[in-house]
Amino acid sequence: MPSAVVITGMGLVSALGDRPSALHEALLGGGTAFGPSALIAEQAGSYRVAEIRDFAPRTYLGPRNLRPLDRTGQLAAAAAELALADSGWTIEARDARDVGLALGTTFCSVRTIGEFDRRAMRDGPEYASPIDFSNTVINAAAGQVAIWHHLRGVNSTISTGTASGLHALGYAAQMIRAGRATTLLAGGVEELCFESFLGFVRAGLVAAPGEGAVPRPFDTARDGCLLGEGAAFLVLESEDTARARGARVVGRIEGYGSGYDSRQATAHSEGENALAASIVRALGPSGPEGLAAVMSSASGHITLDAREAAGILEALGTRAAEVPVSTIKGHLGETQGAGGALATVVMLESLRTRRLPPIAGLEHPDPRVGLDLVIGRPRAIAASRALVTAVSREGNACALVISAADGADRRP
Amino acid sequence: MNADEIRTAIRKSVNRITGVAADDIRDTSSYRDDLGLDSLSMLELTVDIEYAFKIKVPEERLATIKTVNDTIQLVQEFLPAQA
Amino acid sequence: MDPRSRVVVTGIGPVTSIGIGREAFWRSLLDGRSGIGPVESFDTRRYPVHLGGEVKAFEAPRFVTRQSPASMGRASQMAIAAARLALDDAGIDSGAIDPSRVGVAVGTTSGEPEWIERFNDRELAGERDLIGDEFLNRYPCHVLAAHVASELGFRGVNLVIPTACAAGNYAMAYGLDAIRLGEVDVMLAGGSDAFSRITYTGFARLGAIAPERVQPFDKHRKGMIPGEGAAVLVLESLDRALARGARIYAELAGYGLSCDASHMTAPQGDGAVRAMRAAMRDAGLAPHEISYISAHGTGTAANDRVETIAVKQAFGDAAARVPMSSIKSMLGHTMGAASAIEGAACALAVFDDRVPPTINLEEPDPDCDLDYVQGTSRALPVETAINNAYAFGGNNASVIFRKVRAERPGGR
Repeated sequence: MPSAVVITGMGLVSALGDRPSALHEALLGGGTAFGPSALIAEQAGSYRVAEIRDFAPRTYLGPRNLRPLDRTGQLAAAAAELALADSGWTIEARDARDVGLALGTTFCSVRTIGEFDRRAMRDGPEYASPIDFSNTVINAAAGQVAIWHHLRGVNSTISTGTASGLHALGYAAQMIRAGRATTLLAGGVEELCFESFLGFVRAGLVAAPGEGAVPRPFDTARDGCLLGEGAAFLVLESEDTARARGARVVGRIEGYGSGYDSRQATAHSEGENALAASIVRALGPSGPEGLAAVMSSASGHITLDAREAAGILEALGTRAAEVPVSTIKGHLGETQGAGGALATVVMLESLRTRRLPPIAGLEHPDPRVGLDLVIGRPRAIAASRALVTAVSREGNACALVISAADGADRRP
Repeated sequence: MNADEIRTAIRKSVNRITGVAADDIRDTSSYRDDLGLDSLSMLELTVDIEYAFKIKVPEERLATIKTVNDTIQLVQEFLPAQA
Repeated sequence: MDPRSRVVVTGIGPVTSIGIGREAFWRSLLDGRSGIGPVESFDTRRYPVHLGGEVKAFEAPRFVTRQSPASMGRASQMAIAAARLALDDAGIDSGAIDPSRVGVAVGTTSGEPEWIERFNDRELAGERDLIGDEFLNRYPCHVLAAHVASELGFRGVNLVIPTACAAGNYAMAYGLDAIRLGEVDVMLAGGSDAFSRITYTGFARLGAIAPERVQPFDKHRKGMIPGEGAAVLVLESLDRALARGARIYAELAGYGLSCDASHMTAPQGDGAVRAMRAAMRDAGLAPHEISYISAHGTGTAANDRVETIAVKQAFGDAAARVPMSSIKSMLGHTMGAASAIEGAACALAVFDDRVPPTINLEEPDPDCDLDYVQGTSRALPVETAINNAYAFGGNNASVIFRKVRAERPGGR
């Protein structure tokens, strides 16, 4: 009998705050995080970004030596600290029982990888940094988080581009369902850096630069994303483990599905939408019945937003008209590997408070989208189950169905 | 090159690697026991020092280093004769 | 879903420096051939070492036929080749199978490092303006699995698990669960890594690269030698394999994953012990029931000593009687591909009742006192094989293969 998977904690660092409730409040108010870059001011120029200004890792990680961790590692370790604290998994408990980790990321630290190689090529390979080398592997952040937080269980890194964070949650839920692990920290991380920024710009994925530029998910005028950064984790446990330790359950993972469309697929290839199939699988036998909302991964990408919408529409069928759809990427930008995990946290907060944030930057919905998009102000939703979706431009598709626990309102 | 310059370079590197304040790094400090450097960190320090002084110290000599003072002496030994 | 259903290996596709395709690879392994030679993919004049395990006979256009080989990096090309070889070996026609029921899971250490290296070359040459969309299109590691699926049209779950040098084992482990959970019917699981100057620079700076040859467990061993390659295994349920009359190499009988959570680069041993024990428990096997150990066996002073201690701890009295060899003595360390290639070797050992040797082992280290199948291959009944892999980040993964005796479809 497969184990039920519950959520017992959440933690995040984002450009709009480091508490789930604070982030959710900011999104409800339509707050956005875009501005000139301080991290890559020279390279970003007039392009706006959504970076975490004045990120202070010691606030979360204390006085221990931070040098072994690069920015990606620090963002991930900070979010992990908050999630573990929220779930009540103390360091003593983690030393006594194996807690695992599933981390989604697109690049991990391509900044460290780039700087390591450039120094070696410029000054000579004998001057390459040994510590930086240890962070050039794509599982470096997962390894660093495990060391920092004493996570001795499964240690997986999952890469499916902008679907990575959501995929990591699905992977972790499956590990628990299959009885492979009882507790996993699952989520995603991405730092904003020169290398990925330039890659996105040169691939034509970033909205035009200039003062006031914003991404416009699902809008007729959308012309790309703006890059962001962040990290988010959820603590997933088998229901039995959570109950045995008396943990507070804030939600559960109801279902998961993922698939793939070939790179050549277009927005409306009939019957060839892997997201639609993933959603159907994630929703399970009850289908879209009682679905309160969808949190998509739409970022302002011209074809990908349309493709994601088509997948949602195909899966929900006639019920699509009754289910409001939102995205956090109009507020926080394209946070890549972190996006799906941040979206899941926001969706849980939305279920808990029964208010779904509007899509920032959306004014004139693309008529071809055909979904009930949340425009302008928050939408009241029922406190039942919700769908989180993510797609990547390379063809990855992922769907996760979550629900909030009864009486999960944690406010005093 | 006098010992002070070498000492300053070592302190700067160790501070960068470990976060230990430069003033708390003494000539007699043991890298492993007092400053908490592991083998990877020791190699990082070596790269910093070799880069700063443009020298190459053979691996077998590096293995004998225990304290800040050991490094100061080794660097002095391998620096080209002062003009 | 059947959480205990049996999953078997029915196709093996290796792309290695000692042979491309199952037969060439296995013959070379049993003959103890070395694939080590002078590095040709970049200039090593500034390095203290000059050898590598490059796949010099690889011709991408032979395998990459539905996409332009020039549109992707070498790790993707090798992964596609490995996937095609594995499918052919399994007798599966990719056009005659439900594409939504076939998944792709690829492990890697570095993804497509050549594309960040080219990015860096441009940047260092003051040619930032010449960096185009190729970086984002070809570099992020998740393109490996995307390219494989796009080539073959497979639309099931698709992900890259970049858990460094344990990644191949992570991918196979994932495949086992994905089939048991009913997510897909067939999984292409493996690993791929292209020769990388970043990897070479790092290991050279750590002083970990041997100047002449890899001598695992030898008293005079001088380190590892970086290599490249790929391997993909076709995994499917035993029932499905029997129903279609497939040749079955071995059952994927179980696995164990763990994290040292102690140091990024230095192996600790305790995590390796936990992974081996978990794998044996999962497969329902006692140490004395393991016929062969495929060692991680990199040839570095630390790995071989710590791994020997770990095997003794996990196997107890049985350790002295189980032959354990390292094919890295022939291939060098192929990074994220290594455990997939070694998994291929394990499946073949179980099928063929022969185990490959550890070559270049002349004077065993007194600290390494197990049976390392010194020098020449050995014929023996191989009922089971355990495949060990350890990685930066403290990742440990052990996967167990078991012989499948002829039986009737559906019979147990």
